[in-house]
Amino acid sequence: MASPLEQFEIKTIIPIEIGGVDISFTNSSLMMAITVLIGGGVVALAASRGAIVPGRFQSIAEMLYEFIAGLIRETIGAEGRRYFPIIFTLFMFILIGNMLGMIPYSFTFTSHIIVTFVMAFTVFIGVTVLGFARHGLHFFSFFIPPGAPLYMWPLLIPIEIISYLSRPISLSVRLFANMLAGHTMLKVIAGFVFALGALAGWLPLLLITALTGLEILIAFLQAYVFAILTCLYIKDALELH
Amino acid sequence: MSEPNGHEPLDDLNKRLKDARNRRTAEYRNENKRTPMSDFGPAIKVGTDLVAGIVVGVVIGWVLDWWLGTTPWLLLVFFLLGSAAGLTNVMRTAQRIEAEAKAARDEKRDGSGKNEAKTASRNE
Repeated sequence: MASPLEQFEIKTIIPIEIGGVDISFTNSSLMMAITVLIGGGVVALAASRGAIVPGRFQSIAEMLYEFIAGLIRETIGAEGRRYFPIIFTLFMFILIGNMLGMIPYSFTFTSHIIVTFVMAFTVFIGVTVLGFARHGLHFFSFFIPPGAPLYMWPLLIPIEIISYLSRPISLSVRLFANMLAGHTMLKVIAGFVFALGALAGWLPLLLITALTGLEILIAFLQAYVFAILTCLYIKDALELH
Repeated sequence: MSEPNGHEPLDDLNKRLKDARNRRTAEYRNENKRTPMSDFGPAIKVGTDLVAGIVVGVVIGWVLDWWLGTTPWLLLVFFLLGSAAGLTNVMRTAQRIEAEAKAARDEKRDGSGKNEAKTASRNE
């Protein structure tokens, strides 16, 4: 029987090497390219028509737009509109990547820590730069808990800094671990279907049907959580406390 | 039938219609809040936040120990600091959920027109 981890294997499609660095086009790159094409395609198609009574694609794109716009309005407020493009792009990329991963025999690039970490780290650096650009050196006051007495600072400031540094770790591990665990679990239970055969195999088959539904929910939820946390971090950088 | 009082039934109907509409808006808002993700999102967040704090603390302590040759003291210190940071993360999330829940309760109690309270607590 195939290993449940085989689905996460990176396979080179077009080998490319520049200056000793392996930048081959892999199955992961292929899925990302398809994700960008689908994401860009849906939005471009919707925008090109611009009908007053929206068609199918336009409805989907408008729904997604309004979902993220509402999320930003609720978390950051009016000032957040400026950050709509990055949040919408991240959300679409993760959502479509997760959903494509639900198709049997496809590849889930969000199940690789390096992919999720790059996104989380980009958000982290961006938010930190934003904080410094907005507040200058005053941004460091973010690490001082409000209302704490002076003698507690040597203890509380390192805690706050570690808490701040843990953001990209938490953000990337959450997405990666959920996708990895979910897809591994589906494969393991699928293995039981064959192992138990016609006699009792229908039981794990039922389970896997239900779990596929749950996985689709999680695929959406993880994209949503990533987007909402990006919003919260931007808000923190804008307002400090 | 009673022509001079002709306005009253209409006013009454108007009032009842308005009440019903307000009630429906409040209900709708609460229904909206009870989507699975509004509870699920923070729940997913808490676990990794706690672990991430500890991991960052341990890594910092380990690297500093390796650099300064103070094994294992800084690792121990930063493990504790990291745990505290992880708990801080969790506490912040809990406070936000609590504030949101409180806003939702207030909204439910006063019916409509409490939108400001909701956004205020979210911006806390």
